[in-house]
Amino acid sequence: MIHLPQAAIITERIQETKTIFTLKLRFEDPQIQAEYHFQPGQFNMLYLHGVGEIPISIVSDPKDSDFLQHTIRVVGRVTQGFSRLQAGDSIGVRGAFGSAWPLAENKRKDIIFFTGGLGCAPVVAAIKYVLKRRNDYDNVCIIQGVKHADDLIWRQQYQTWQEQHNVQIYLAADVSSPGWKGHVGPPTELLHQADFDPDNCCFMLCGPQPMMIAVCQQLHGKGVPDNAIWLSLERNMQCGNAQCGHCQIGPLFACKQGPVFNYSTIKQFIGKPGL
Amino acid sequence: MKATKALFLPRHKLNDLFQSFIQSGFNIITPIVQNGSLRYHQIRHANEITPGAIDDSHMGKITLAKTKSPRFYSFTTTEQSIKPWVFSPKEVLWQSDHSQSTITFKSTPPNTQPTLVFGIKGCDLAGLNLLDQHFNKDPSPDPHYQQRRASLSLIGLNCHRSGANCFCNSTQDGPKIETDTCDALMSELDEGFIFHHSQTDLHARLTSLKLSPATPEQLRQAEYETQAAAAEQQKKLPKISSTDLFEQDNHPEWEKVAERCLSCGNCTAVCPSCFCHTIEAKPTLSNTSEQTRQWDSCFTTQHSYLHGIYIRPERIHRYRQWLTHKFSGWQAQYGRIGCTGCGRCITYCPVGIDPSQALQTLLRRQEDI
Repeated sequence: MIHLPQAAIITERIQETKTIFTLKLRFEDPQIQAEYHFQPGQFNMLYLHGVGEIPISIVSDPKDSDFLQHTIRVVGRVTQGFSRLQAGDSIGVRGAFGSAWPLAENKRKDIIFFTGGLGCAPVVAAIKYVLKRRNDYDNVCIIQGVKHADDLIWRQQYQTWQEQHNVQIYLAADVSSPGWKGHVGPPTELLHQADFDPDNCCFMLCGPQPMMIAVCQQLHGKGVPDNAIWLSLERNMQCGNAQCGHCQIGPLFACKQGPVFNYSTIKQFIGKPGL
Repeated sequence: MKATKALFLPRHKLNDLFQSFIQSGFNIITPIVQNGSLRYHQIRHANEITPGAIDDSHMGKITLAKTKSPRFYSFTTTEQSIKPWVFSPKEVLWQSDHSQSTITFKSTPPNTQPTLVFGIKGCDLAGLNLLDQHFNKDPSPDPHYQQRRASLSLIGLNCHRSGANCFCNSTQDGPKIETDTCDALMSELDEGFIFHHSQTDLHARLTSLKLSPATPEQLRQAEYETQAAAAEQQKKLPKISSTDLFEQDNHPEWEKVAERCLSCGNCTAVCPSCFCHTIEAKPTLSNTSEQTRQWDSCFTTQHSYLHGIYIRPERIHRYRQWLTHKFSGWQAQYGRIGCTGCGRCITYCPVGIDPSQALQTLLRRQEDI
């Protein structure tokens, strides 16, 4: 599973937007399926025969033991190839790799998920984890920004989360579209609306790096300590095992010590050009 | 188990030792002159080694010369370290087959044979130890590296000569080998080889050659020569911490070095510890595909490619990445610098960039201010 992929069958393919789709997978070998486990925040290397391997975060709940789910946006050659697959097609999976969101460690705190773009995907498994154990956490808030209102996926899910799980939802789009009820502008403008205790909270961020850095700076101004902020970072990843060398951020391997980093650890290595 | 009583092997008996290994199914690789350069190569007889070959290394330049010395290993470094023998420049990691409705995967382990590496010097032995730390680490060591590495038996050799680009004394990896990570350790003299210590198996082979113990004069001579080789070295590294270079990310020296650097990647290719590699799918015409690993260099723009953007688009970023990783990042990752003082990056840099000089400038500010 770490060095050699295992075959998995696509049991369902969901078109989320024009360029975003979700693949529901099941390992062909039932024993592998039974033994496979991951923690929210981790990723798999997905292999498309003859085309290549890409790191994709896992969006399903770790407790769903009979399938796993990946949401993918078409951005390059390999994702383009993946987008053409249908239910019944077979791919390769290696994993799970990387660090996880600190969920068990932050019970009895306010949890704020702050995401941008498809950035939501790496925290979806964490959101599901928290909502399944809703009583373990205090306030739960999701702030999600997208470039264009039409890019927002999982609208229905947000509504369900808000109504059934007592979750504060704040949505923002740089460009609105007819019927858009959320904020128009960057999601950072919504931060002041979120209800959280700076001394007893945990922020989980993912999305474009400049947005995350802007959020961290705002949070600093609000008295949130650096070590209460966690970020999921992206880099070129080809092995998943801290060996190919591409994903290094300072002395850290994003595929091993990351992709989920504590802000206090990663602060000095991000936001500088070319580092 | 190591025997510590030093034995002396006259040069004319070296081939007997080689044949004893060959008869036991070993390949023997050792540095020889081939096609005008010094490289590790498989040999079948000691007479394939070129006596008296020496190298004359400068910044961006190396020439080989033949001397009248009877010694086999008077050169300083080979063109490449032992790295390609454990971390192949290009190899297939696994194969996928989609000729049926589902995909099947098959690992493609390398073909290896027990191999005696005869005459590995301190810088390259240290480089191998660094690669071991990177590739052979728990909980998921790289299976290809692991298999290649396990096939090697190493006979270390103390250096009795330093070149203009050598600074192993400064990294404490040579000229005298102090680590216990080789199967035997020797020194070369005009008349033959001293085996300072050897693993039990090798010791038995040496004993069967009816060798005499090394004399105190021979031991003194060998010690004197390694000390002299250390004293010869002109280049030296400043003291560097795991955070120093990260803190110097805005130093004007980066710009100066980047102006000269060609981003050719020679330094990373000859570095005994550089480990970066790409992994690519190489489809065949028969519904199979080979997942292929190939050496990469952090000097390429592609190295930092991330869905449409480059994290390190400029040469200054890439040179800074290489040097910062090698000398500071590596300490945080593996507890020591990633440089073993072999000097190859200086010798093979087409424009003669010397990292030891760049580091002196980058870190000088601390004492100066």
